[in-house]
Amino acid sequence: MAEAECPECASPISIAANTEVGEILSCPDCGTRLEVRSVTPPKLEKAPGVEEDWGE
Amino acid sequence: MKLALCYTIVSVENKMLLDSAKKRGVEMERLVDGEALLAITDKGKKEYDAILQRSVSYSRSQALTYYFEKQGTLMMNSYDAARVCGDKMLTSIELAAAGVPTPKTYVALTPETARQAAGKLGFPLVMKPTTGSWARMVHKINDKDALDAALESREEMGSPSQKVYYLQEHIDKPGRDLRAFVVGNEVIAAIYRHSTEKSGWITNTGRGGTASKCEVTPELREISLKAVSFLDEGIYGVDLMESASGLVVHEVNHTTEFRNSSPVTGVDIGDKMIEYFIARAKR
Repeated sequence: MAEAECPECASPISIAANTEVGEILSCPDCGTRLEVRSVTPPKLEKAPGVEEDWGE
Repeated sequence: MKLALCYTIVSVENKMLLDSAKKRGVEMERLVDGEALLAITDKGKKEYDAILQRSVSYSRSQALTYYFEKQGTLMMNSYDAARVCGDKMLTSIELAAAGVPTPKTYVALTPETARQAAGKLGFPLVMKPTTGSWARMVHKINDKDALDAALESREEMGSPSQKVYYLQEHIDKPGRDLRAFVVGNEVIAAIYRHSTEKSGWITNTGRGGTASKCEVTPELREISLKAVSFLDEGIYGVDLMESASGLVVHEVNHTTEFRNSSPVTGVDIGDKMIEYFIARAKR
């Protein structure tokens, strides 16, 4: 399991082995929604907000 | 055979779909909608045989689905189907035309005509945006003052689409509604979606509603299949409510979520979707 840093609060975040690029995680400390931009090396960025036309 | 899963973000559902395909010995390419470049004037050959379209963005989904469909790629769901499902007004028009029981609905294009619609519906009523999901900006409006406030807020918004007023009869449902999962010509599973203290009158599980198993009765099967009869064969989530006169359909979803539904129904909904998608791609 790799470890990344929350870009918002700098808390360490564990990245599970089966994590995919593009997956959305929540920082356990500050709750910010984060997008996995890279698995190796692990890199997180703030996830895009929900747009007006998003849905199922 | 080249198959792909198209998505905006890697949701839990999308991971489940990719895993199911892998277990069936099929490696699906990942097509991230935001990274796509549509080479419209290049004379390219068909890039994919079939794409399972799971974009959460309606506009991206429409662009990519039309583009790839024109190349001869099987898109699931099709452009025509997604266009109708992604727009509540079009869905209501098609449901009514097909004779599917559906709540009384009016669409107004100005606040004045929206008030006329409210006069016909009475209070409480429900006002929704025509696009979007997860009950975002879906308002239960109890009286004229609340309607005036909601209309004023919508008029102040920049997006012209927010000035299309979709008003619907409020169904006094018993604290729950239903979702039926239609895959091809089968209703493979259904759930009740219960409202909770957290979700308020709304039942969406993404908003705090909870799911429980619903038996697929002959009545539910019949109305659910009728609700997709005007769409190309594909994969849909049909939303229904229990009214005093029986089941009514209010929405059909073209990229239905199922993460909370598989555990309570005992049906591996994602795997059923993948099985069907691969079979259709081979046809």
